[in-house]
Amino acid sequence: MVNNLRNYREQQGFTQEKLAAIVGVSRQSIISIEKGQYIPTTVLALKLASALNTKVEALFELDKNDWK
Amino acid sequence: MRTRLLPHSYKIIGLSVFVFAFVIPIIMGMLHQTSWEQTEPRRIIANTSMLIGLLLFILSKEKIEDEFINFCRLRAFRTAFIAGIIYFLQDALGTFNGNLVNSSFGLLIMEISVYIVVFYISKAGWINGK
Repeated sequence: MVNNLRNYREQQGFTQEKLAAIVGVSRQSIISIEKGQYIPTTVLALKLASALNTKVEALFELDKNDWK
Repeated sequence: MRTRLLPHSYKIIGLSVFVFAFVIPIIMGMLHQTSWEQTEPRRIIANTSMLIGLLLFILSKEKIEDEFINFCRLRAFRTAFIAGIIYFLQDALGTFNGNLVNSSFGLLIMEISVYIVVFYISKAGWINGK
């Protein structure tokens, strides 16, 4: 899955810690999501999108490998 | 998803119980120039205390509980369970000597150790979660 979370977060001027505090998770969760080590649930993805004033589809995109 | 766990402070309590149960037999053994655990009831008390301490440790909340922590927890439980089966199989096939107390204690300590290691390395992001 292509993950644009870091780009959107930096565009908004949020630190990982601040974004984590807004959506109510640990900083480690944001780090893991940005690294692609963890795929968030729908609820968390929607919260992230809302916090970054964008849509979930902009933050996360399907990759070719996701269809295999 | 809400998880019912003990408060975070139980981590310290559990760790303290484990350390006491681990260290006291060693100190007593040094003082008496013999193994404090030589008698069966003492050994059972020490082993049970260690298990209770570790159980309190793993069943208490992290400072921040979120879905990622739950994910790490589930992965750690899964790995520990599989490790337990492998341990049991190799024990049954190879070194099983009929001492069920020792065997089950060893199995449980090994499972909890695997759980703790996998949980914390997952949490630190050293394992790819895909």
